[in-house]
Amino acid sequence: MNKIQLSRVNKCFGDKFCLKDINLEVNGGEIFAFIGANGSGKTTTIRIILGLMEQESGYVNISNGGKSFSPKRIGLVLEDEKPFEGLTPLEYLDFFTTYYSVNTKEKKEKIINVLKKFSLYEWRNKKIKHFSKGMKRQLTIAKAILHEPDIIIMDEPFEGISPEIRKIIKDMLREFVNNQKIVFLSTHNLDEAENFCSSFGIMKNGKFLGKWHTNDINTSLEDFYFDKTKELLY
Amino acid sequence: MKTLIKREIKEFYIREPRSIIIAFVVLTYLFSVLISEFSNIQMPLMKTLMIYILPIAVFMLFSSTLLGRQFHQEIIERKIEILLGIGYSSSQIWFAKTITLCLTLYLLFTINLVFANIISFYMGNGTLLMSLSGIQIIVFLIFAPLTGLSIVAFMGFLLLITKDAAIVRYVPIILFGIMLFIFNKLDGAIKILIVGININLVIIFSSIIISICFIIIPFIILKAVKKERFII
Repeated sequence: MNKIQLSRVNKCFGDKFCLKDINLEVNGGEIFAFIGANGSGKTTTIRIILGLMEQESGYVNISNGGKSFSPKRIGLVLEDEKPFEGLTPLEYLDFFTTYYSVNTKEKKEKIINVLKKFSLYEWRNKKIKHFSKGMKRQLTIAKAILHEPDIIIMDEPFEGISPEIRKIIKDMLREFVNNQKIVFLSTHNLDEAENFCSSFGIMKNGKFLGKWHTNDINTSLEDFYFDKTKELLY
Repeated sequence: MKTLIKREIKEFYIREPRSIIIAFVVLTYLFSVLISEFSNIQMPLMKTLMIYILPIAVFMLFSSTLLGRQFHQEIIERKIEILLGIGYSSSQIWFAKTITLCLTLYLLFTINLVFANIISFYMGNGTLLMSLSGIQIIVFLIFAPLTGLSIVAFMGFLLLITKDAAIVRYVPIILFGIMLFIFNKLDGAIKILIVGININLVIIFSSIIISICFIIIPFIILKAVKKERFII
């Protein structure tokens, strides 16, 4: 089974900010929301999971049934990520599918299908730099799911995306986790986390406050979040 | 790696040819003027130094915009981060960017040279290649570009490491300052060299050493530097 595991992870940036003793486990079949205020350490944690940053202590383990994991098996959407704007959507998605070694025969069909689903097919030969912010965001999400990875990691994925496309993406992601895959997304939007995700974790000032299942909390996620983060303040 | 190089060529040169077209026009004019000036230079030493410095100057001049787009802008827009995130190493990214930039610049240089020589020939000014000796042609077409392009590669590396766009402005000034200082100090020594050793061989040898250093050093450092260095 796919698993993301962080154990006693610490990372400091001088005296300014520290991630302190992060312990977190996300298993296959979960849509996990990583919630917290700006600067709470969500993006740093994601970067550590992706190997873009090295933790000072502790360990990170991403596994697929005990096997070691290749970065190619992760779909990735960064916060404020821009697609390669000099390319067309077809070229952009072709770059990633080629890199991810998607079967040449299936590649074209998959690209066309995803462009149709995201209502971008008409724009397939236009340069991405002429696209709206939402359309660019859709493309970055499309490239992350196209190669059917085992884990999708998304940092604030739904910003600027229309409700219709947001629903299509969410449905695709729900279908995706049915195969014991993981969706790990960081978000500020508590309603989205409550309605869409199966579990969530809260970050506050570099500390991980815990992980819960959305079905297990009795109040709204908003109240729960403020109760938990208030506890830390006083 | 092939995928990455293909993307660089498509995105920066095929889809955005404006800067290449401007460089092409400016370079054709520059070469046409210089060809007639070259035939007037009588001192062989001066000619050799000029044919060595000219391609280096041309590459540094035209690389600044392209370096800014291909390296600095990609860091700012977090495209380097996404490439690192999906599994590319920093040395692979640097190499792909450098090889496409250098190939483009060299192609631009040679095509322009042919073009300018034809123009100059029909205008009755003769051609540059006719006014140079065999070894000078080799220096002009191979070793001077090799030095120039390895400096461009090194500037790309500095841009990646420092994330500071100003580096593209400072490095050429510093390098030319160093060159002037060396030429000034070695004035006497060069005169001795003309008698004792062939200056062209000195240039060939030094350009090989410079190029190896400017290409090997980035590879070694990029292998050692952590990925987070390239993230903003």
